[in-house]
Amino acid sequence: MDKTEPKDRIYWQEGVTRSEVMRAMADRRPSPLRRQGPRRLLVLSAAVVMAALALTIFIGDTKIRTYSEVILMVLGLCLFAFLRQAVRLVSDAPDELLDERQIALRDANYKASYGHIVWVTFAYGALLALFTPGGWLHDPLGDRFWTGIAWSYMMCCASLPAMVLAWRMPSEPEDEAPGDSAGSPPGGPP
Amino acid sequence: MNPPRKPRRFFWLEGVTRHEVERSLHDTSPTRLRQQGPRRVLVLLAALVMAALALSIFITHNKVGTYTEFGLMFTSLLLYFRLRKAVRHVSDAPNELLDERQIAMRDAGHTVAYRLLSVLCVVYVLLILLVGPEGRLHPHVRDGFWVPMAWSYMMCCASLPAMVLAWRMPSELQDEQD
Repeated sequence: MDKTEPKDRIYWQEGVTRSEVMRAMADRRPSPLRRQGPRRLLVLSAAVVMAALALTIFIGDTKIRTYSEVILMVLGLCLFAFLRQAVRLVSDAPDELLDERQIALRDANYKASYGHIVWVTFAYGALLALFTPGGWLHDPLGDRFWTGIAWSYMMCCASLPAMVLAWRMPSEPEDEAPGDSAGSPPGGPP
Repeated sequence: MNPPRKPRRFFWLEGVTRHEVERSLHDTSPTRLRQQGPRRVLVLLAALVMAALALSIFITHNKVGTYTEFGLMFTSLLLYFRLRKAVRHVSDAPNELLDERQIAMRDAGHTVAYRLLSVLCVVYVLLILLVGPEGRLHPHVRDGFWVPMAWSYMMCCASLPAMVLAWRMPSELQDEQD
C-alpha cells in the first residue's frame, strides 16, 4: 500500500514542526539576525530578562511583583522565539532534518550547553536556598512564592542551546545561499 | 623558541584526569558492564535511587528520614562512579582524549541528556511548588526538605550524560578493544 508522507509533522520532543524548520533553513531574506553582533545582543538581552525575572522575588509589593513577572515572562518568551529564528532552528531540529555537519554542530553545542546549565543550576539553587526556611533572606523577607525563579530557570533550560549557538555562530555572508559557508551552521534542507 | 607545552593532567571542568580516561579506554579486563543488559540495569537503578532521594522528603520522622537520605546520597554517588566506568569515561572526557567517533557519540548523548534534563527540570519545579512554603503538600514534608531534593537534582545533572550513553551503547565484543 502506498504510504503518503504527511504534509507537516510535529516533533513534540523537540518542539518544532517540519515546515517551520524547512522554512527557517531556506529563508534568504536579509535580517540583522544573520550577523553575529545583533545576535549576541539578543543573547545578552535574553540573559538580562531571565536574570531580572529571577530577581523579581526581591520586589516587596505583591501587585508590582506579579505584573513585573508577567511582563518579563512574555518578554522572555518573545526573545526565545527570536533566538530560535536567529539560529534557523538548528538547536531544536531533529536529526532527520539536518545534514551531518549540522548535527555535529548542534550536538557539540548541546555538550557546551550542558556544562553551562549545571553552573546555572548551582546559581539558581543558591538563590532558592536563600529564601527557603532557614535561609539568610527568609527571615527579613518572609515567605515568598518562587514562581519568578521557577519560570526563569525553565526559560533558561529552554533557551540555553539556542543562546550558545547564537553566540558562537559567525556572521553569514550577505550574498551567500544558506549552507554554502563552512563556518555558518544553517544549510539547505538535506 | 617556546618550549613544548606539557600535556594537561587534570581536566577540572570535565571532572576527569588524563590517566583515568586513558586507563578506562584501554581497559580490557572482563566485566559485566561491557554488556548492554547489566549497563541498562545500572541506569535503572541510578534513576530509582535519585527518585527515591527526591521523595525521601515525605518521610516525616526526622531520624529515619535523615538516615535514609544519607544512605541514598551515598548510593547515588557510588552508582554515578560505576556509570562513568561503565561508559569508559567517554561521557566526561575532553575532546583531546577521544577520537572522532567517540566525540560524536558523547555529543549526541549530551543532546538527549539535555532534553531529558529539561523535562526533569519541569518535574522538579512542580515538586518544589507543591512542597514549598505555600504548596499543598508542605505540611507532609519534614524541615530542610530542599537538601535531598537539591542533591537528587544535582546527581541527575551529573549522571544523565553517562546514563544516556550507558543505555544507548551496544554490548562490546569480548575480544574487541575500544
